[in-house]
Amino acid sequence: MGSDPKACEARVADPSGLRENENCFQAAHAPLSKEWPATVKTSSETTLDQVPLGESAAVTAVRASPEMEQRLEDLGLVPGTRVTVRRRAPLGDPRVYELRGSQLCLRDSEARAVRVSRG
Amino acid sequence: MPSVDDVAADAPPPASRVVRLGLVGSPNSGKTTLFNALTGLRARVGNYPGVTVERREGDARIDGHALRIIDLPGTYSLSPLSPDEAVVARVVHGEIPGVAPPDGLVITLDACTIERSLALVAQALALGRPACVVVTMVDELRARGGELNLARLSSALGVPVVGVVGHRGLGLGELRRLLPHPESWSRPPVPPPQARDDRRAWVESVLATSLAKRPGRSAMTEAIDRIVLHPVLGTLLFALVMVFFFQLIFAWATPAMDGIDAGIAALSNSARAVLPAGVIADFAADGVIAGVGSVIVFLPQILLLFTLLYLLEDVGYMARAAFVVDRAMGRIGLEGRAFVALLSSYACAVPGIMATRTIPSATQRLVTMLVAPLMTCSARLPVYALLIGAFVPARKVLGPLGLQGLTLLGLYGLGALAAFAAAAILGRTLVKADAMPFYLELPPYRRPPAKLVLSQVWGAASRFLRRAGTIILAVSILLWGLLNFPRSDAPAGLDPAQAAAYRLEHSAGGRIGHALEPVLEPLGFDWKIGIGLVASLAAREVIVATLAQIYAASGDDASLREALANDRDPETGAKVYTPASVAALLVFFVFALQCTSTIATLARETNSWRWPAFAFLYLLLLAYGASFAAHRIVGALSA
Repeated sequence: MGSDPKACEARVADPSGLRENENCFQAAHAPLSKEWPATVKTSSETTLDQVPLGESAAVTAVRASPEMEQRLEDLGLVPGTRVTVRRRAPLGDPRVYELRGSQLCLRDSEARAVRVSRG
Repeated sequence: MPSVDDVAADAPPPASRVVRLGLVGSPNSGKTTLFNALTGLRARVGNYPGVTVERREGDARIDGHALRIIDLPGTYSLSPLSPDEAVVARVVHGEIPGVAPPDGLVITLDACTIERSLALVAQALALGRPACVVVTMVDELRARGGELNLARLSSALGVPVVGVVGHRGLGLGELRRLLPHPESWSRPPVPPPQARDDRRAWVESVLATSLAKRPGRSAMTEAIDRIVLHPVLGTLLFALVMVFFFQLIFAWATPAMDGIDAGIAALSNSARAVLPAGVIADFAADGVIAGVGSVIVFLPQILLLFTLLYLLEDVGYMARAAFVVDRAMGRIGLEGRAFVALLSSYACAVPGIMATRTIPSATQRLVTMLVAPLMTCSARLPVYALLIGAFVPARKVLGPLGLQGLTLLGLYGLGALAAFAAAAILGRTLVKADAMPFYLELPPYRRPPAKLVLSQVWGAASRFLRRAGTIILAVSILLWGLLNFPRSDAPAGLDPAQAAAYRLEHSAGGRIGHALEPVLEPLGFDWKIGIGLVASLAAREVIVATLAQIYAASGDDASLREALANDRDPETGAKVYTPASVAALLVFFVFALQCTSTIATLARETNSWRWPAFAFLYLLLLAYGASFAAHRIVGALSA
């Protein structure tokens, strides 16, 4: 909605990294963005696509279109779920996550909708 | 029929005496294995009205009770995102006209992924219909060190729970005793809550009471995935599997296809021998037998291809292959699973289009189906072989590489490039994106039961023969009529072959060829190629046989090549087949959708005539444009 996904990808590549990436996601989902600036982000909070290979994190929220939120939750990505990054594809994206006894493959663009807390 | 006293004792639903049970479960939950174990592989396959989702039902007879098992598509949720999932919800709710809602739900639950799957169970139980839960893969759970207490699970859910090991038949006896009596199944005193947060709490509490120990990782799956999903080794393995695929389609299917070809020719000849010479014999031999034969000849390819596809799918490799290539496919707006469909289309677009069923997103499925006919299918090979053999000099160009081989490779490459470009454009413009995110579950590797693979292959093959076969038959008869009527008498003094060519020129098809000449002239085609193109609408390779008839060539390829090379315009004396017109004809075949089987399959899979019509037209325009360009470019180069 008003945001060009290409521009998003370009910004993800930007060395300033995470923050830009967040802004970008926010722009792509304008109706949800209002709540966000109010949320104080602790240093351990990030999105699933940012968790390094082999490490794990706990889901805190899923923020995407209603359909995608629903599907990611159907697949087990509900708050409190522990997710481990198991493998990555030859070109880095998508990656395989282990959660709730299953191995789930998501693209970074989808994993970005999953907010997690590390540590 | 069940005996009268049985029926009275069980008080079955008033509408019918058959107990209808719907199988609900997430993908890879062992649903199909259970279906086959209960029904003994006798599935009736059809479509639900108004949608393209496959409808599978089978009958079982247990202690004199007649059961109808409805195998619903695998789903992660009853709040549907895809057409397949919508069908599950609508069948369960009884919303599909003409399809009675099931008397009871049988929910399959993979013991190893119970932590994820209970949300679906919660949704299904909330419908308030009689339900029971079949826990599958209990042996696998134990092998992985997990402990699940089925009795506690049953009391936590409030419905009967049976553990089974489908492929070994364990637990099936208990399940069989349970199934005929859905009205007597225990029901939860309160349905599971449906608000998201409450449902989560419900799932956690059920897990806390029943799952004593979580399963660990599967050691075998981990060991295999260390290679299969390794960035380098996994890519190499993927390439090897693809080479194997090609080998299967082109080399190993050929003997069987040649055999069928010979069989059809023999049948056609014996029909001529038995029937009195004339229209009826021609109709039986050329119209019916040759027409149907042109479909049956693909059967070996389809059988081999589907055996491999289902085997890889059921073992668990297909999801890994999709994972390995997803990024590359993402560049053209498709996803990993589309690769398999496009690859199959190298054999034939029909199985390729059928293979798109594994793609959950309706948009992705449609785009993949629309570009699949651009992949160079095996039916183009005879056409390419004829034209390249006749007009491309057999010169060595680069070491062992000959000019003929390079031309063939170039045509394959052009088709693939066109498919990728069309996918990128269609995905962005014509087809509206749906909400389905990309996700792929990597199931543990499992040894697929041979019976399951064979039943799937047989199902796919028989559907291909029945559905595409009826339409091919109708169109072949129509084309035969066009090429044989009105019948005109050839002038005296012509030999039989020349007389046949004369009659062909004066048939309706021949007149269409002449009428098309103004349109085809910019491509360098004359009326004879026009007839060939009209005939090739049934199937691409038919143009070879048609040209053979027109040039009254004596059967073998070499004489036809010679006839083509020597054909001159009767007025100007110029050669009909110049480098420019041959290039244009080859390029035309790269793009055009001349295949009734593909069109019929597209119509079936999209459940409309709109998309096949669109595919036919856009590919025709593309073919004409590219062919025109090829004619100009090669003409300028060779002048």
